[in-house]
Amino acid sequence: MEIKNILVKDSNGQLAEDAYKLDLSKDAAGVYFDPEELNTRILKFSPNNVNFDAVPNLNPSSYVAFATYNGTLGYSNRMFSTVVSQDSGTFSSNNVPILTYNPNGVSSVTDAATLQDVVIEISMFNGTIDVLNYSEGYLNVGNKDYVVESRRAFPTVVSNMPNVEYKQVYLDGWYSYTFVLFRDSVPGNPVFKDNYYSRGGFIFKASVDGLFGEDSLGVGIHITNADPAGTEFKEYQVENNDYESILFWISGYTGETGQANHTYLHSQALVTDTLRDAIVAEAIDIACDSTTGIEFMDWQKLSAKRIGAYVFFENGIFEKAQVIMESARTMCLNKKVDLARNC
Amino acid sequence: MIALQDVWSAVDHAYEAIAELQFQIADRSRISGDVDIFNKKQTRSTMLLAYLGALDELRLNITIVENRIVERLYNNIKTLTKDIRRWD
Repeated sequence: MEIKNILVKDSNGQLAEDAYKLDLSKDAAGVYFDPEELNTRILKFSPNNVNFDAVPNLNPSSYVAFATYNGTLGYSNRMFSTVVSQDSGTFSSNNVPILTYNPNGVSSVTDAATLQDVVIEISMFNGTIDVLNYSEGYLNVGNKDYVVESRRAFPTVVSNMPNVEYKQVYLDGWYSYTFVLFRDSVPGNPVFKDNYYSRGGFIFKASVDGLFGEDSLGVGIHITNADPAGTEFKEYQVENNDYESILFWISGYTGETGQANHTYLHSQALVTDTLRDAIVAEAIDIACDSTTGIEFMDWQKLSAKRIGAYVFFENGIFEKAQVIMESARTMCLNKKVDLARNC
Repeated sequence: MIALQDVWSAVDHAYEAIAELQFQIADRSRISGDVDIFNKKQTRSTMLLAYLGALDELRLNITIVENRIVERLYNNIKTLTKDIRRWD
């Protein structure tokens, strides 16, 4: 059994099908560390195993891509997703978009103490209802701000995100990668309320039923009435690429073919990099310093956790894999392989 | 006498058992993530891990002695995972 550092598993979407793959033995999406950054871990998400030339009618089209971190904040019966990286624009098969996520580049802008609390109820395993305070804040990644749903977990852990505790941002865990391709609408196309459409990288959720229109090329995108006998209207559309809304929307179209208005790929990834580091560091420490071998306790625990997370992830039970990864966090703190040590 | 399929089955069951035990540990110790090394579930995980490591090194139907050891490992895994009740 080979245990990898990053596991990837396609879970939904037409682009994940074999018909569109370059290499059938691999998943459609690729998740990997930036090969040019040796000292820091920067995650990259890309649909690099999809043969876009085999997908019909992609010219012109627009895309939107999301990478989210999924964590429990201590509640194993509930998952919280936070978008850690997103991108959208005009799609070109010669230049497939790659999402980047650098946990070290993330910092919480909003002080946890100033977050506005909203109470949500959570059903517990034993049938009781527990209460979790939920707040909204901002994350800053480089020059870009992301609105995140920040939650305070009961009773002791204050967290701005599932992957953040105080100032520590965790890399390890379960990520979801969603890549949606929209075939661009042209003036005169019928559009239907609450469905998503695109034009030149502009993605919007139709506010009414009607006909697609634009004032000039890619500018002033609007919907007009489809029925010549009906009341005339012209509703301008606002850009909308909200993750949660798109995710729920595409999940209703599982059976559609690659020829539809949109096509997508939904993939899961499990990163066990810090855990792997801690296991190796533990072994090196014992080899260099120990005479008793008692320290092997942590090595045993971490190894078992890693195998547990791996098995659950490979079987598609992502939530349980994440719960095990979260339980390993504290034991992985400050455990890094030091190749320069005098052993 | 066990067959190769039995060994594969034991390996699968052992991995599943480790995962389930680790999930149960994680579910109750999320904040610290730690349990005593003598915790019954942790001990069982470690034993299964060790048996898996040993099975990985042995080959079935090469010598009688090795077959006996494989059979012993198989039985130990079976004993440790029997509460999962997936053995036929």
